[in-house]
Amino acid sequence: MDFDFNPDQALLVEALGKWSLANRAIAADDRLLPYLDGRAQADELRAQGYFEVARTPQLGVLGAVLLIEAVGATPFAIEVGASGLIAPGLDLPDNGYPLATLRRGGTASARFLQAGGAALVDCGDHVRLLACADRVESLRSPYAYPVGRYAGDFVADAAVLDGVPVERFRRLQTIAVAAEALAAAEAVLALTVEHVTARVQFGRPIGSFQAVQHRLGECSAVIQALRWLLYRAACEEEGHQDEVAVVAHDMTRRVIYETTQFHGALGLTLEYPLHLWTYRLRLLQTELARAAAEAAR
Amino acid sequence: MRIADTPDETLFRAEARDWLEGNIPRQPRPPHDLDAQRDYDVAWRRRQFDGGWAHVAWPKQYGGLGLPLAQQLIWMEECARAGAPEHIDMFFVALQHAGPTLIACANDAQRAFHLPKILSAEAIWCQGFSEPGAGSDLAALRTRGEIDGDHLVVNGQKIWTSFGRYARFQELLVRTEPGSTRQSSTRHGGISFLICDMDLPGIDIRPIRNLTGGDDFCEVFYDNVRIPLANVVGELGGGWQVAMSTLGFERGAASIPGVLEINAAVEELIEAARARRDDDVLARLADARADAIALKAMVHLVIARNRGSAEGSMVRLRLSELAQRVSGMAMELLGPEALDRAAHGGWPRRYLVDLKHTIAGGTSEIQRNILGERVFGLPREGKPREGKRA
Repeated sequence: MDFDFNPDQALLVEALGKWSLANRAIAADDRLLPYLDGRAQADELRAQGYFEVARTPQLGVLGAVLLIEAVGATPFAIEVGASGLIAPGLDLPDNGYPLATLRRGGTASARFLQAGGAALVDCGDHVRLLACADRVESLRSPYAYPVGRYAGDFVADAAVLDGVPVERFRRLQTIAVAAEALAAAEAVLALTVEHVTARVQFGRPIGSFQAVQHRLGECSAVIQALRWLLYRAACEEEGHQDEVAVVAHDMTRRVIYETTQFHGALGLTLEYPLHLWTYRLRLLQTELARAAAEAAR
Repeated sequence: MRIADTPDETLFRAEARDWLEGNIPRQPRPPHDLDAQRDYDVAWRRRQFDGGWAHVAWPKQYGGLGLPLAQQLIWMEECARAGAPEHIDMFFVALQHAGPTLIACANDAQRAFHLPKILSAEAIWCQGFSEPGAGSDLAALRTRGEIDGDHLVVNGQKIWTSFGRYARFQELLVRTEPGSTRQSSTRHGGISFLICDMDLPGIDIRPIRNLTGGDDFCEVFYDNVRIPLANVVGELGGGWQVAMSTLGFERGAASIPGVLEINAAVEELIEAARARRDDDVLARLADARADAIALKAMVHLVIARNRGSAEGSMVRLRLSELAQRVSGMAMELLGPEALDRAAHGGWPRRYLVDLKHTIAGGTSEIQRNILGERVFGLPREGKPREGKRA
């Protein structure tokens, strides 16, 4: 066994880390936007080949998880889970960007469902590919992503993808969503530590209270538990997706609650960026809930 | 102990139910447009006043019905049963904070002027307690009032003032003895509780956009605002005690409608979870139902103790935490449908609104401190030692 990144993965982490740090700032004019459009950042990463890392044997699905972590730590809404992990993990060609996911019997709305893009549709016993063309209307959503609704029958309009095992599709979907949740949780925890260090009440930084320290410590522990479980699942061909879903789901609930509490009313405003992470984690939690519930059975 | 209605209460309940059936607004409360919300809230409160149902437990001379709190509870139960509009509306501060505070602490002239205006829906009130540097640590407030003849001249800033732009009056805490912030032993002294007319010159109100998409809470700036000394409630410099009774009401009896509403919401979601055959959420809703019913029983504790007891913090804590859990479950039940903020019953928006309930009116952390310090009598957490390690 080797518990460290291989040299290619280490190089990837370093390069992505730099990129991620350079893409954290929010322009003053953009503060009150419902979400920050990350199309330019996505185009840059795609042009540099980063969305193909999962196709490289030395990087694999773990490489894609590392990509999602770096991308997800920025405040921009960038579709990377389906295009950077699920599609290459299933060895599918680039069928259009962004790539959303839908489920037969479910709603026709999804984040990143956009005109000109595509969607992978979970049809129970097989997977289909939907080309959105111009049949998508954008939806007003309170969550920090572009959201669209397909105007039509998204199952009938989609083409069957032969040779794509639905179980593998779902496993990669869980890993991708959990990786996004991990990235958002780490970013929001860092923001919270910064806040409790600076915010003084009762004559001392609120981060000096043990009640605050204990709870931040617990957040950090569950985030690290998810990270290492996720890395393990990404290194394996099968298994561990149920545990990933359960741990990620529990983590989002805890992290949303604690980080909101420790920011007080400030975190409920649009002037301060916490809400971007709150929205994002909430939506990811909703997506993880079904996988977590199925895992529990 | 007697939980069942007396014959008088049975009659009162039947009358309330009958009136509500014919008078509940047919349209839901507008979720976003504040002007429309104001019109809606004024119309509904005014209808209750005209129907003779405005505040059951307030004294008769100020327009209430002068009945015991048990009847107030019955009225609230019937409102929840009939599906009355949500109780946290633009009159929440007037009815649940300012009114009870004035009844408990104000002089006759202040009561006679303000209480009827609250009941007849003429005056919306807002709160001016928190400041940028004084949130959980309310006693750190710095907005100051200096005596000039028979006026206080107020300068400073308040924040998180809900519906500030719509309010006619404000319950305002100011420091009237300068310098008293410095020593912790005296920092609760020197604070005064004022009634501030929001139309006075020198008041500037700026809305803050919040994550629900609304801008109901505001910053309020005071630039040499002249407030008559006659507007001080209680003693000059005795405002901390007045404010604590206000917060006692907020954490106590004001929670009752919320308790009844969460019970109704849990039942609604159980129906929805059954219809969707979502056994996982259904199992967790069963836990939530038990907690909601236990909260309803705890309301009797609040009523038995009535005024501003520390036990109110227990109800407040469990209610606000439960409300968040329940709206979280609603989101999971909706799944990807929750992407649309207009989805089912407004739950996606309600989830975001519920995030504030464990912060406003004293965070859950402050409620827990109150339980530790005032119910158990435990010592306050000490200051960190400076310089040397322990």
